Amino acid sequence: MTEEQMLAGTIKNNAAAQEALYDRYSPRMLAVCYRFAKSREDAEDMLQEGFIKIFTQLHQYRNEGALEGWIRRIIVHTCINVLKKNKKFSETVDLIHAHAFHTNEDMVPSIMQAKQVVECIRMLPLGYKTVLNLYAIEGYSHKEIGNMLDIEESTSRSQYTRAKAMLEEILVKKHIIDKSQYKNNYGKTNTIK
Amino acid sequence: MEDKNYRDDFELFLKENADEFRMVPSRRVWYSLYNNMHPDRRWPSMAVCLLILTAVLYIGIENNNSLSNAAQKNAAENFTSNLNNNLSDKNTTFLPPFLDNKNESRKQNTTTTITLNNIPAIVEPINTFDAIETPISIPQDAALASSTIINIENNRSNFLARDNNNVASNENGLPNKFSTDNKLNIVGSNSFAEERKTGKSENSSLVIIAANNSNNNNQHDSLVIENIVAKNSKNDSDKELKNSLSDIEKSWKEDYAFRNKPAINRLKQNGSMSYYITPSIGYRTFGKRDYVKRTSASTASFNNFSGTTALSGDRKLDDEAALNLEIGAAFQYSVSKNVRIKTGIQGNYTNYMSNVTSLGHPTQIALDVSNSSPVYAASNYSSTSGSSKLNKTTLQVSVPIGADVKMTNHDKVNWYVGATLQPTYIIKGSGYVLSSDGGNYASEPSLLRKLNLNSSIESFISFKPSPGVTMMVGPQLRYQLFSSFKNQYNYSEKLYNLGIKLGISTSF
Repeated sequence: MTEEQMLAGTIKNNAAAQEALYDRYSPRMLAVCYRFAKSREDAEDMLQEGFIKIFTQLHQYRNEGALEGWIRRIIVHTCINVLKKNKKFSETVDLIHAHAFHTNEDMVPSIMQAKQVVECIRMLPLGYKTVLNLYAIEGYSHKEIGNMLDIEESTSRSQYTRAKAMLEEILVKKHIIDKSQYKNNYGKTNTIK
Repeated sequence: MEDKNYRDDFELFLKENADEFRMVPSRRVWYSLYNNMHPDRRWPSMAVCLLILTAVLYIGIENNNSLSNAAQKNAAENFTSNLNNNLSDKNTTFLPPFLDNKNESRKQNTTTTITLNNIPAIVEPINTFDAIETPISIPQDAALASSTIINIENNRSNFLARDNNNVASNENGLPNKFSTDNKLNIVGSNSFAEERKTGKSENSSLVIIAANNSNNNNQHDSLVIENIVAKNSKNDSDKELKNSLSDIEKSWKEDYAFRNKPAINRLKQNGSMSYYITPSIGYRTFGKRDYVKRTSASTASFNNFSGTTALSGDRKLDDEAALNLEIGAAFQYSVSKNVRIKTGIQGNYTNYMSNVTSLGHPTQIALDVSNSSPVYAASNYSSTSGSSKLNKTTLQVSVPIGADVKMTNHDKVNWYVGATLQPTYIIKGSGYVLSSDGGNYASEPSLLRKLNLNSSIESFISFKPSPGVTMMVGPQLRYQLFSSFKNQYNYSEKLYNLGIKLGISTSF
């Protein structure tokens, strides 16, 4: 089924077209949800809610830009809405406390680098990982993130800075990135204790 | 710049790895999605489930009867047929199934032929004990047995004819000839003749001795029933019968008795009827439909039994719970020691109230209906909290299907938990709907969903005040699974009730 057929069928609420669209994009979108969610089950709930929105709003898609990008934006917004129901995004974790948080690193499964990186991101505190996901991976600006999460732009920046530092440290400890490449946010070379 | 480059590299590194990562969702997600997108297709599957459940229940009940009535009848007929073949070969007789004495039409229409040495003898009517004065006709040239036992077995379902004097039997253990003193003994072991005679219901044996006047010139001599001996002791007649039967015949009789033993009525044994009434307080959850909620900022949700519900803007609904009632009857069937399934029919009256303000004159309002041009209705009420009350009622009839699990195992008092699913038909309702801005109410019953699905969970204590009767009492929560309104109406209302179920159950 071509993309045009899928789109037309989905707009007409055709189950086969919806399933084809779902089968094509759900693995990538579940990976997106998984980075935001606490667990796989939560991620699947987000995915489900996101796809309902996609199916019901697909008529608004104007073929401007890739369909995957449009779907991804809806999924990301769905994830944020779900998270906002449960948690305040002004939550921060000091780097001092974050060291203690690193004790879970060994739980990261060493299956493959992509999974390891994603699992490391998921180990971050909720506020950190949300901002990091949105800024570093999804490409939103701090201003957009501030609007999405109902926080100040400056808060988004500071959270991202801390999140990045924490993630770098985790990645180095897991030997996913090289020590020699490890630098903190201020451009200084850092040494691992 | 170095920092910017590094940051870009780091972000690129993260993005590449994150984008490379894939996860396959479980199939459950798609099924949930499908059900969300195509709610109308749930009903056929539910109907099929209901059909299957009914079929399984029916088959289960039928198969639980060790020998159903139909099977018993067939067995008796087959057996009669076999014996007829055997006996007629030997010029003796086996009578067809004995007919119920109480069945007048059968009694009048029954004629049974007895063949002795291939010459028919006629017994009219077959239920001889019912018409003692009626002669039994035996052909003039028939070589009759000196005494013949007609054994009425298994509640007068069959006759067995036998030469009483002839000890020798054929290989089947059945009589092979009659003696010639032209006497016919008919031994019955049914109860009705005695009942007729004495008015007692006690099982009795009946011996009828008939003699043949062989010198009569008529083609068929009349055998007049000479004597009726009612033996009040069943054991005596049993002994008499036993002594007169060969081992193989006894074996055959036992086998026959086994095959024709009264069927255990599982339905009566395990089934019961319960009648219940559940006064409850009813309320609702209220909000925008899910897909509307996700696309707009306006939300409304509420879960307590009274209070205000925030709508978009600063509007609020002021609703409160009201008394509801449920009345029903259910058939219960125990499938195991601790589990019983149940189904039945019940009626529900649901109600909750909105505190509103009456308008001086009707106002036209627009309803929040999707996928169509705006729908307008006349409103007499503002949703602003006031002194007027709107009763939001529905009258429903539903078919609960569910199960109870016995949590304790005592003689008199037991604790059960149960749950049901209730396909529901909404007979009528007030159908008050909110305007699109949440400011007014209008009655628009056409937006009410006609079919819905309710669920209930309950826990109750049962008490047996006397054998066969059980009283029950306990809390019940009933929840409506779909909105009261059709899909195109963008507000969603789901009713729920919390009540005390009172019931009585009687076994069959």
